Amino acid sequence: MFADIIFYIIVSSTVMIYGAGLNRAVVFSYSPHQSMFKLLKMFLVVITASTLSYLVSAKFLMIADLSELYPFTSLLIFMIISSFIESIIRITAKISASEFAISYLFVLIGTGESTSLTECLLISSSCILSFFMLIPFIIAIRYRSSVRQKNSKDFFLIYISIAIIIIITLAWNVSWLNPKVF
Amino acid sequence: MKTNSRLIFLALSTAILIPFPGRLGYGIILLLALNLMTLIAAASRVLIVKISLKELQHVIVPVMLITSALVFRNLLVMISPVIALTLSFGFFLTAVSSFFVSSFFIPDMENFSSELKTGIKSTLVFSAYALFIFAFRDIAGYGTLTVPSTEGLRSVLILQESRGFTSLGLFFNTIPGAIVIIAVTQVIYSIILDNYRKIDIEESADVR
Repeated sequence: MFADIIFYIIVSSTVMIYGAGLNRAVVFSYSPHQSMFKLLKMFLVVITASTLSYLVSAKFLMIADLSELYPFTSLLIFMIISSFIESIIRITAKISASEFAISYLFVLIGTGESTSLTECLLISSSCILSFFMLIPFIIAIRYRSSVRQKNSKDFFLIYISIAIIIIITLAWNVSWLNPKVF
Repeated sequence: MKTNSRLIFLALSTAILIPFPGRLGYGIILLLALNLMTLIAAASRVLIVKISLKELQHVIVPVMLITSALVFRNLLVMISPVIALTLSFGFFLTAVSSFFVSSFFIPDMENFSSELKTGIKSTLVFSAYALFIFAFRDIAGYGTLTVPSTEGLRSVLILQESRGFTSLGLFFNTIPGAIVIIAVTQVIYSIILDNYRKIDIEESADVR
């Protein structure tokens, strides 16, 4: 279980391997305090939606031999929970905190790559954690290299440094002494 | 328009270029799926306006896109299971990013042909660019060009193996290599757009 967590946070982080939230991580890094509500809502929605979606797909879809349809049912469940939580946030805090793409992808990954309910929750929360952990790195790189605006040159610097971060986190898993590499 | 097109380019390229191996065969299948999904998104938006359910469009369009991604994936499982194994998660990434793109471009239209033109034009331009990048990564990393077939990918050898060339090219076949390609393309694209805009402004000043 510990190995699962480390795998999905650092070793094979979803944000880096699938590129699932890379753009949003860069956008969030420009204004982290205003994105707090979005991140909180993402966390709540992903945890709830992946639990329910795993239960529906394990108890109903698999018995009916329809387990290939899990993205469809998880989308319906995700929409319901996302609208509910967003309406609560709008009523109480009067801020719009809508986020669809990465939350839904994390729910899909959690439901599709797990073999038990615990594992589904662990995988979804590890995906969110890896997304949260990437944002301070990007903020630090932006402050160190005095990147302030959303120009193309600044985006270029940020993307190159994300590529370097990926090389650093995954470099130990490559067989460098293979004759084809050098 | 400039920030819009750059955001669309970034969203589409991170969804299509990063997660998959840099082989031309996978690129062909994914870009076909992307164009079909854009068609389906445009068609469903027109349908929604016709039956006057405009408020529900943020719910219905993703449902149609994910359903189409499911159908494509299962068709691919029937036709070529090996490719479906590699691209297992890819169709949903493509569907989500094409929903993102279509929500940008199309505010409120009732005309099917104009809706189609604006949606398909940007994805066709992006498909041409992405096919070129896939071919470049294939040749630089493996020296072959691949096409999809029922047993997997069929490869055609283009370059003879030479150690110096393939080791540098192998970097472009990896995930950081894809990110470097995206960053460089984005800078070149902005420079071209800036110069184009300067020429436009100068021409309109000359006319006056």
